Formats: sequence, structure tokens, C-alpha cells
Amino acid sequence: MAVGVLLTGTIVFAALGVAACVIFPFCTAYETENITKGESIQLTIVCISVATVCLWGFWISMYMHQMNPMILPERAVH
Amino acid sequence: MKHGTLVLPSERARHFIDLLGRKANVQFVDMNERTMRRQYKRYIQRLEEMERILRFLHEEIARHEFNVTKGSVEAFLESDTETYQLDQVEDSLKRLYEQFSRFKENNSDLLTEKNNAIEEKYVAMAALASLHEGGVMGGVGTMPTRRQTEHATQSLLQAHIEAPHLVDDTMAFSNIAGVINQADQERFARTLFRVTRGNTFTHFQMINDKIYDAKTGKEVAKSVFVVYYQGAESSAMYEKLTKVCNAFGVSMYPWPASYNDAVSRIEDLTTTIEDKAKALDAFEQYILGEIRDLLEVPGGPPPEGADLEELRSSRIEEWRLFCQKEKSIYATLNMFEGDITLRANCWYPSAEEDMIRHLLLSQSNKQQVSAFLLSDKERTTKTPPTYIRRTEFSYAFQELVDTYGIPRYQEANPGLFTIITFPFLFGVMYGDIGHGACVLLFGMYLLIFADSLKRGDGPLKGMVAARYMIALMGFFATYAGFIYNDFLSIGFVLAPSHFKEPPGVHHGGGEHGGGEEGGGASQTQFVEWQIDPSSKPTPFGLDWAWKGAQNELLFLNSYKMKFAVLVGVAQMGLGVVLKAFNTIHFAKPLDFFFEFVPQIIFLVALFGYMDFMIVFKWMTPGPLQADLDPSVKAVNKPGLINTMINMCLAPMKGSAIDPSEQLFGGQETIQNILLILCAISIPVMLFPKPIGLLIWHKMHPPRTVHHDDGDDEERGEGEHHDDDEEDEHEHFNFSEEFIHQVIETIEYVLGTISNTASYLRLWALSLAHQQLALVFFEKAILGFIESDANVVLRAVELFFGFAVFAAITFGVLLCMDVLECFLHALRLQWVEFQNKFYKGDGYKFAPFNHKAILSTGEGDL
Repeated sequence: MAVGVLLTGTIVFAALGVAACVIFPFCTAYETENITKGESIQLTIVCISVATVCLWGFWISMYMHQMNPMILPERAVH
Repeated sequence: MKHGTLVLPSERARHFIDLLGRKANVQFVDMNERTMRRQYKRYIQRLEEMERILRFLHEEIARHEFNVTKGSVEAFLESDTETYQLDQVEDSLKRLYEQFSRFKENNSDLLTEKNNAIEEKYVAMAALASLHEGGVMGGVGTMPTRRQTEHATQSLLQAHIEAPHLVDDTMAFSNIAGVINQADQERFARTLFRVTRGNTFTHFQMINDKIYDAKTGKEVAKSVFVVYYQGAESSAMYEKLTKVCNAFGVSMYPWPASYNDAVSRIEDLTTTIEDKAKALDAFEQYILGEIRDLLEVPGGPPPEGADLEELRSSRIEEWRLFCQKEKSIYATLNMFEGDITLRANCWYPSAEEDMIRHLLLSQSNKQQVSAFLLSDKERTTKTPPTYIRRTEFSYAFQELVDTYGIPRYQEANPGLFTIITFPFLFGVMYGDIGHGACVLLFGMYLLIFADSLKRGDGPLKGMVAARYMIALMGFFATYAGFIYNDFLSIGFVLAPSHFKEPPGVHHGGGEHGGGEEGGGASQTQFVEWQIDPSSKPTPFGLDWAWKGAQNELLFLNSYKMKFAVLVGVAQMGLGVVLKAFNTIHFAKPLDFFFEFVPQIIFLVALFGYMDFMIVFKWMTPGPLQADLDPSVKAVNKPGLINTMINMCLAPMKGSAIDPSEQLFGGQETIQNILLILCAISIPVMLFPKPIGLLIWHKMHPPRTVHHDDGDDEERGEGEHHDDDEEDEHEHFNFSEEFIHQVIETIEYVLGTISNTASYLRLWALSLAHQQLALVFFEKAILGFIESDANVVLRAVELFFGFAVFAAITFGVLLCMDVLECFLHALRLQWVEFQNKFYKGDGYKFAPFNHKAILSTGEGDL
């Protein structure tokens, strides 16, 4: 059940990452005197992949941390 | 990067350098460093003189309050195709300088003459007032009509002036007259009174016309003075008065003898003043014309809506750019050696080699001379400069890396990963939706208005270069805020909670959970919520039930610490892997097998295992889950730090693990294997590399004669020739190499442990940020909302409370905390990440490029 969420989420992140890799180069890749178009696309893709991995790791660790909590929240009674 | 020699014909050398500065990136090596022979010194002196004249002209222009149009350097370079010639520009500058100096001189002469005329005119006018038609001393009523045009007070003054004459007109009175600065007036009168013991009468009259000082050009207020005294023209009194006058530096003018004399004098002087004023005007006009000519933008005003890049500058600005460019060209030529043909070694990017050759060839054909680039046949022995191309996007990140150290030539550049990992680490620490969004919005603002901010002189100008970094930092901080479910310390209900309030506890009734200490002191009671079996864990971010819970920090700290370790091990692992790429690139198998391999084994066996345990503990159900679902078997959840310590102490204490502390079956065996791997990897890091190097140097004996001191490794005295390195590094010193390796090993082993601990700053700073935000919110806002006071009073309190909240949030969290998180992220990036692979001992490729030179020297004048 919970593992299913991990899988779904991972697939979502991967899909978003791939989508961003496809979409971003169209708006961020420029040819300037310091970078060719190809290099610009490569740079975009590397950045997006690293960013996706970071964001995914952040999400999945928070999710896993809450999967099997060892303590319960103690809230004030109003 | 390639090394070569550039050969240029000396008579056309300037053209080639100019061309290379425009189109290519070549770094020249100074050939005359030792001899200090500078062939083009004379040109540089000439150019410096021209720059001096330009500065003078700039001052003149500023004095006339004109603005110089500053266009783009690109437009100047594009238009400057033989438009300006050194001799021509020099001639026109010298001509202008002469004209301006002559104008200044003339102007000052004319102005002095004009001032004198004005002053004398006023003296004459004052005289006119005291004499009246026919030369007879007259009363108040018979003032000449001319005087009535003067200002009203004059008639009153008149009475005083004429008083002595009326009282005693049998006595002989003389007078002297002149003009004095109004500031000195009082002092002058007092001095005269003292010197003459009160036997003179001094009268002052203001001059209404504007008088400008000829030297400073500033307006000065002056007065006419007339001193009446008893006695003849050349009496002792006269002597005394002239002395005083000279001491005050006043200008004295003859006092007209008669009324008619005064009238004719005034007429004469008026025409003189007009003449001088006309002459001054004409000069002024001429100079203004010259200045306008200087300020004119060549090629006419730019078309409406023209691109900033195409905007050209005023002629004088173009001249300045031209001088600067020429100076840099001759400074470069000074690095060349040779007489008829100039030669200089240079570095250039391999990718540009063909382009440079092509440029030189086409220019050679045009100029009917030959210039060429000789690339070195053999590999050069010198370390090439590191050339990392930057874009607007990567600029700020590369700057961060370069501040630590310029990458060694062809070393893996950490800048690429820094682009994402640096803002990510910042975000983990800064995590807050509200604050992160502010940073993000600021970044967006910089991105959108980058062009106009770059042009202006605002305080944000310096931030523009870092705009992508700031936007990314804001983005990651906002994302982290969603993960922590933290908006200015308040949580959102992003998804239904996994927990529910236990039934039957309402408003103080029923059981309380672990919160006795909170419930004891105040009326607040805490109750432990239950897992809602019908719900799932929140799919994204922190469950809102934890926000405001008494044990929120307990839960969140545990998460943040574990996440910090995960991030740390991942980033350090990446660093070690990059080292592997470096060793492969530089073809150093020894480094790969005896540094990279044991290092990664050590890291993975120790902290990779810790990561595994963290994830394992997260993924397995605990007692709470077992209570809920009988089919699930609870797993022990021992403290990870204890487990790690016991694992390392296993050789002393024995590896047996208490069943209640056991995480999974076969844990002892696995831990022992990992520990043995760690233990093995340390000597593997330490010994094989220096020994391998020693053997390698033995097998490749030096070509030159050398003395061999025997092969005892222990003695470590073997000196061997290293024909691969350059001359300075030809001796292989085993003991040095060995000591170096010992240091490296110790640094790595201890570093792995301490660096992992260092990543816990991710947790610490994020905790500090969250707690600060919470305190500000509680003290400045929440207290007023929850107070029992009158609604109106609360509203007023809240109004001011919010102002305090906003101000303190801005000052502490949006300014100070951003800086703090920035610095800590920088440290993690520099020390924990980069020390795994980054040597950073390269030097920067500094090509000769007009655009770079002209752009940095913008504020020179």
C-alpha cells in the first residue's frame, strides 16, 4: 500500500524530470558566443536531472519517515 | 588549450593584435619579463597624454553641464573599423586642448576686464549720486533722474553720504573709492575707523550686477565703497588709507571729478561692458559648439526602440574607448620580442585554432605581409591556463568555485554540480514557503529587470550577476518549505492527516498522553493522537497533525538529521566518483585503484551502511503498526548511533548483538564484513601508491646521468629522474611522496567521519530558522490574537504587532538568515564536497580581448 505510493511518486518525479528535460531546452538553450546550442542543451539536461534527483530524494525521505512513525503527535486539547 | 608562437610583421603588428582582440581569445606570454625591453613605450606615453587631455575635456564638459552619451562597447567595436587613427585622434585632441586652454585663458582675461568695467561703472554711479548736475553739492531733493532707476534705499543712503558736505562745505574733503568683497566689508570699515581714529566716513553700496570670479567662475558679491576724509589728495591720511586698501586687496577706481565727467564715464563703461559681454558670449558659443561636436553621437541618433547593443557613444567617449583599446594593444605588443618580426608565445583554446589561423591568413593577404601562428609540435612542459566558458546562467556558480580555487587544467569542474546542489543545500536549511517565496520573487524581479538594473547605478546592480542563483535558491527553499509544511512557521493542511484525535477527549476531559509536564503547569493538556486506520500517510510533505504538536521537534529533528546524513553521503559519494573521473582522464591507474577504490569502499561500508539502516528503519513497521494490524510483525528500532558505535567497537567488545537491539537477521556478520572492508581499505589507500610510483620511476630510468642511492624504501633517499615532468619536478622523492600519502589517508579517513557530522548543519540551521520564525510569529502576532482583551484593542495591537513582525522577519530571516544559510551551504560545497576530488590549483585563462578590457574600464574617467 504504502510502498505503492513510493513507486507512484518515483514514477511521477521521473516523468516530470523527463518532461522538463524535453521542454526546458526549448526555452533555456541559447547559442551565445560562450556556449553552443548543443552544450546549452546538455547543461540544461544535467541541471534538471540533478535537480530532479534532489527533489525526489527530499520528498521520498519525508514520505518514508512518515510511513511507520515511532511516535504519535501529542496535541493540545482545546 | 594549446600553446604556440605568434609571429607578426612589426610594421603591421598593431592591425593583427587589434583583430585578435576583437575576434579571438589568445593569452600572450610576456617575452620581455626579464629584460624589461619595451619597444612600444613611446606609444603608450602618447596615449597616456591623450587620456589626460580627455580627462581635461571631460571636466570642461561637466562644467558646462552636458552629459556624455555612453553607448555599448560592442557598437563601438563594430563601428571602429579604421575609423579612428592614432595620429588623427591625437591631432584633434591636441588641437582641442589648445583651443580649450586658450579659451580658458581668454575667458579669464575678458572676465577680469569686464568685472573691472562693471566695478568702475558702479563707482561712477555712486559718484553720480553724490554729485549732481552742474557739479554743485546738492540737497536730497535734486537727485539726477538717472539715479532714480537705482533701487529705493539709495535715496536714504544718499542723505548720509551728503551729510558731511552739507554740514561743513568750507572744509576740503577728499575721497577714495573702490570695490570690495561684501564678506570683507565690515572688517574693512572697522579697520579704517581704527586706523584713522574715526576721522573718515565710509560708505558702502551693494553692486546688483552679477560678478563672476575669473579664476573660479563662482559668483561673488561685491560692494562699492567710498571713503571720505579731510585733507588734500596726497595727505598723510591718504597714505594711511591706501595702505589699508592694499592690505585688503581691494580694487580702487578714480572718483569722477564732476557730474558730467561721471555721466560720460558711465556711458563709456557701459559700452565697454557690452563689448566684453559680446566677446565672452561669442567665445562661449564657439566652445559650446565644440562641446556639442564632441558630444555628438556619430552615425546620428539611434532609431526609435533601438537595441541597447546598437547604441553608439558620443565622439569623446568613442575617443576614450579608442585610447584605452590602443593602449592595451601596445601593452600587448610590448610583450613581443624581435625587431622585424615580432614573436610571442601564447595560449589559445584548441577549438579556436582554425579560426585564428584563418583570421591571420586573410589579414595577411589584405596587408601584403605574412603573419602566422606556430603551434608547438611537442607537448609543452608548462601548465596551461584553465579556460572555463561561462554564460550568464553559470557565471555566479562558477564564481563561487573560482573563489575557492581555479580548477587545475582539465580537472573536473565542480561548478556544474554546484548549479543545483548549492541552491539545494541552501533550500534544505532555509526551508519555508513564505520566506522562500520572498527570495524566489526577488530572484524573479532581478531576472525580469536584469537589463535595466545593469544599466543603472542602483544598489541592486551588484546582485544582477547572481540573479539565477538567487532565483534557484528561492525555488529550493520554497520546495523545502512544502516538504517541512512550514509557512512562516504555520502549517498547511495539504492532505488529510494520517492521525486522528482519540474519541472521547474533549476540552480537558479524558486521558492525556505523554504531555503531563505541559498539562501540569498551565491549563493546557496534551493528548496523544491515534493513527487513523482508514487513512494513508500524507503523500507530500509533513503531516499537519505534527504542526504545533508538543513533540513536533522530536519528530522533525529525527527526520532532518537522517536526511542530512543521506544528503551528505550522497554528495560526498559524488565527490569521490568525480575523483575517479579525474584519475581516468589523467590516466593515473595508481590513483584509481589505490585511492578511489578504497575510498569509495570506506565511505560506502561505513556511511553507506548507515544510510541503509536509516532507510531500513523507515521502511519496516514498528510496534505502533503491529498494534494496528496484527498481521504485521514489528521490527526492533534500536538507536542508529549506538548501532554504529557498537559496530566499530566490535573488535573489542565482540560482535554479538543483543536480540532486542537487532535490526535484522545476520546483522553481526554483515557488520563484521563491512568493518573488515573498512580496515583493509585504509592500508590500501596508504601503501601501494607511493610504492607503485617508486617502482614506476625505477622502471623508467632518467635519460640524464643520475646518482642512485640504493633502492631502500625505508631510507627513502632514492632520487630518480622523472622525464615526464618538467625540469623543476624531475626528482622523485619517495619519503616526501610517502608522507604526503599518509596525510592524504588520515585526512580522508577522519574527514569522512567529521564531514558526515558536518552535514548535520543542514539540520541545525533549518531548526534555527524554523524556531526563529515561530518565536517571531508567537510574540508579535499570535499573542495578540489569543489575548482576552477588547476586540478594538486587539485590532490595534495586532496592527502594530504586524509591523514589528514584518520588520523583524525582513531583517533577521530575509537578510541575516539568508546570508547565514548561504555561508553554510558554501562551506558544505567547498569543504565537504570539493575536498574529495578538487585540487583547484590552476590559473585562469586571461585572453586579450577588447570587449573585456573596455567593459571593465568603464569607470576610469
